[in-house]
Amino acid sequence: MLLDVQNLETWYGPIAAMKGVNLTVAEGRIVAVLGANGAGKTTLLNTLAGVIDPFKGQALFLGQPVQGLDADEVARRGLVLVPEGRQIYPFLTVRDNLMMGAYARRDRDAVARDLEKVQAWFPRLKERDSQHAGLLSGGEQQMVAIGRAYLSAPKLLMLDEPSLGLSPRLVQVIFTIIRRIRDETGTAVLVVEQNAAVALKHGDDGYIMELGRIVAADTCAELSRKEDVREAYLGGREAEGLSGTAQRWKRRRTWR
Amino acid sequence: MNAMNAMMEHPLTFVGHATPAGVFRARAQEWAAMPALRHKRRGLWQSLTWAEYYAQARALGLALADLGVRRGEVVAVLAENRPEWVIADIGAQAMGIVGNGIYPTASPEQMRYILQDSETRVLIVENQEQLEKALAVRAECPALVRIVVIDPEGLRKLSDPDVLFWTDLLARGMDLARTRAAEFEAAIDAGRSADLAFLVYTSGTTGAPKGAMISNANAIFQMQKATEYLDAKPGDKSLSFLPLCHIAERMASVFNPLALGLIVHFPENAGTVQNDLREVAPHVVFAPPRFWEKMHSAVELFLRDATGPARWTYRTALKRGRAGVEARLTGAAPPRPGPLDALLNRLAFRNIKVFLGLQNCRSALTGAAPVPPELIRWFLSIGIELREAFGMTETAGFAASTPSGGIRLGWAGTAAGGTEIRIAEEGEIQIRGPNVFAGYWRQADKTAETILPDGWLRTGDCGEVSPDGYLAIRDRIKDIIITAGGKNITPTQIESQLKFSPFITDAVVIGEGRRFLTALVMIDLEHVSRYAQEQAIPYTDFASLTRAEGVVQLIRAEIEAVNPRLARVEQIKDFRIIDQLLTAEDEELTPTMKLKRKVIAQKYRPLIDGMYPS
Repeated sequence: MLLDVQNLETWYGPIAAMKGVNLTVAEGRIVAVLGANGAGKTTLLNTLAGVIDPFKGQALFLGQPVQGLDADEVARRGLVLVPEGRQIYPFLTVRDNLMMGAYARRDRDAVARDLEKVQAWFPRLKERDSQHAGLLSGGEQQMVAIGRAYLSAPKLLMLDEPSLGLSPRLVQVIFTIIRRIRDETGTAVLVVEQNAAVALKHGDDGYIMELGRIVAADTCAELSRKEDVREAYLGGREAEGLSGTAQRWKRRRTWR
Repeated sequence: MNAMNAMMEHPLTFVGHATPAGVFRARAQEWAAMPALRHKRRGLWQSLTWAEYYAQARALGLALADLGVRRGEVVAVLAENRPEWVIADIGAQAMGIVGNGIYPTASPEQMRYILQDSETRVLIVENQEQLEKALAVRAECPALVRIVVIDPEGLRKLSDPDVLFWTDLLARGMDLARTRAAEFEAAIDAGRSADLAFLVYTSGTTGAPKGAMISNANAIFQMQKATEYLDAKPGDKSLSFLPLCHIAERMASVFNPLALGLIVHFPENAGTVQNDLREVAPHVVFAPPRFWEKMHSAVELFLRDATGPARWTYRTALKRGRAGVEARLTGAAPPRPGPLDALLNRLAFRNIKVFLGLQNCRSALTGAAPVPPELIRWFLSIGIELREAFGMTETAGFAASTPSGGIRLGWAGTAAGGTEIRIAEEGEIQIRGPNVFAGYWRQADKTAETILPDGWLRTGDCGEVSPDGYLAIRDRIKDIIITAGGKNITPTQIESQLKFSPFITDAVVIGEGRRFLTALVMIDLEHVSRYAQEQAIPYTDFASLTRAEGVVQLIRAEIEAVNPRLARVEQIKDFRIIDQLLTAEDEELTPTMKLKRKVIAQKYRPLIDGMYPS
């Protein structure tokens, strides 16, 4: 198992953001974590990336515990986060932004090859090689963020809401490329998403998080078939209520 | 039939009135300016005085009559507990209209059945969500003329001639009251002792639900009794948190207050009950054993995380309290409490009671399911006399209760004064008296099966009566298990002991025609997932939690802790955990979240067979 997360628990002061999360990512898989706002998805990625230290539990990456390590050490081991909202350097050029990802690498030839790959996946970035990254569109900035992460030579790429603020067409483009990265390089992907439809379509395995806990786990194909998932995330039962308002009666979700 | 004749000649009365509506009118004058109902809205308690309560009930009663609902017809309420529920109920009853309740968790299908069966004329629903259900089945309920929505939120765009809002209906009634208040008074005067007061649909663990008819006389009798078994005075408080569709809460929130002057408090919502309980600190609490068990587990779990000295104080106080309890239960002289006991009491139990909101509680009662003796011991130790009561829908509430100061573990108390209890064939408990209900709505055959010609009610429970009149309930007769070895087993007793574990929500004991007993267990998601996290047991969804080795071991240990207290043939030899998260909408559960034995036995057949290798 590439990543094995066991009973990971994270608190913000008196508030438990993750109340014990268990999840695994196998080699070469795309794993999607879905959930509403505040479910603890970003906390999960930030804890794994070493940004926050967990209160309890462990995360084994390639068999070695990585919880509580510094963020740079985690990244050096191949567990690389593409943070939510891109977080690129607006006053650096596209090229410099990308190369920041390779900052800790010494294998210059391999870096050059990886840069070529990134430029092949995202031809737009090659076109805008020397522009300030702050002048790029949101979709292009997301490409920079993903490309930069790839240049750190990840074994597992963690993406926090790559679809944030992008047009539906661009979302498809980004996810198609994520799949291509996995197919061509075997890099595993752990992606946290609110856009459940696209994540379930492109992912292999899926988890659903609610209030800091995993409530459902299965392959993405199976999850898409569950009634509660369809209703809560895929806009099933969209039909208007009989009273002329959109909402229907609530059932307690059981995720079966 | 003698009892019936006597009743016709000298109808039962309470404070001089033969119907609850009559008592209601008298109380509204007597206690006019005192608070009757309180409801928490947006974090603030809002009060309704008895005079306001009466005025609103009158407005509603008149408005219902104005909609064309006549004496003897049915009006139903589908809402969580809130003032409008009881206002509608008593307002309808005063007009001679029959009140009924539908569980808020009911599926549209269950709703349709009850609306059709009772030929409900007006349905009062809580909000948009419940309205949707009602609209989905309205076409199949020809008797239904109007749907009234209490909370208009999200329904601004609604335009439907047959749907109206509570505030509009109430305003219409207030208008009518200006000119036609006398009609309401006349309707109260016209009410007779034998008239139907309200319906309670039985949850129907077998077959379709049946509407139990509760007469005015039944309600009046129970109000008389309330003054005997409850220690309360006007202005004392209660919290209405169990479903009002259930006979126990109906009596507790609508009728007992008329008798005793309790201020009924309605929680903000189902999730705030613990908090509201702490805030209200009621004087009277009735709840099923499950509720008291949760209080006990909350304290135990809370103290597990507490500091060392706090734990020591609690354990020591509990041990010393227990010695006193044992002495008291066996009738011996209790050890004299010394200054240390007084101190421990203050430090530990006073705080626990405040934590639970029970510091004012003078009448604590439980029933509706077998009560684990350990539970009563614990509450006695902390200084709460948790008394048992026995009753059912068909006895309009309590039929027997433990007298104050007279707890006997394993016994549910003595018969209500003025009623008789006997043990008939198969050990069946039978009851006769003014608390026996008026029969099932439009099901004469079912009524005849249940009430014998000489007035005895067949409870379907078996048990025994001690020489000095204490009643013990063993089980539902039809639930008794006969094993392959020919032993008679009462599963409910065993299940109640299993359920005492905070990790087990419910269990079904299996063993009919088998060589030994086994159990299907429904785990408590909250406590078990917390345990799994503490013990670092990995799990993802509910099914994986139930399969985790550590969880299986936990449940095994809980069962093995119970086994030594059981006779050899009663011991649970194997078990399986139900791997689906069940909700009240599932056919496996009753609206009160109890497992339905028959459905479970059928649905989980392979799981059960797996425990019996051939």
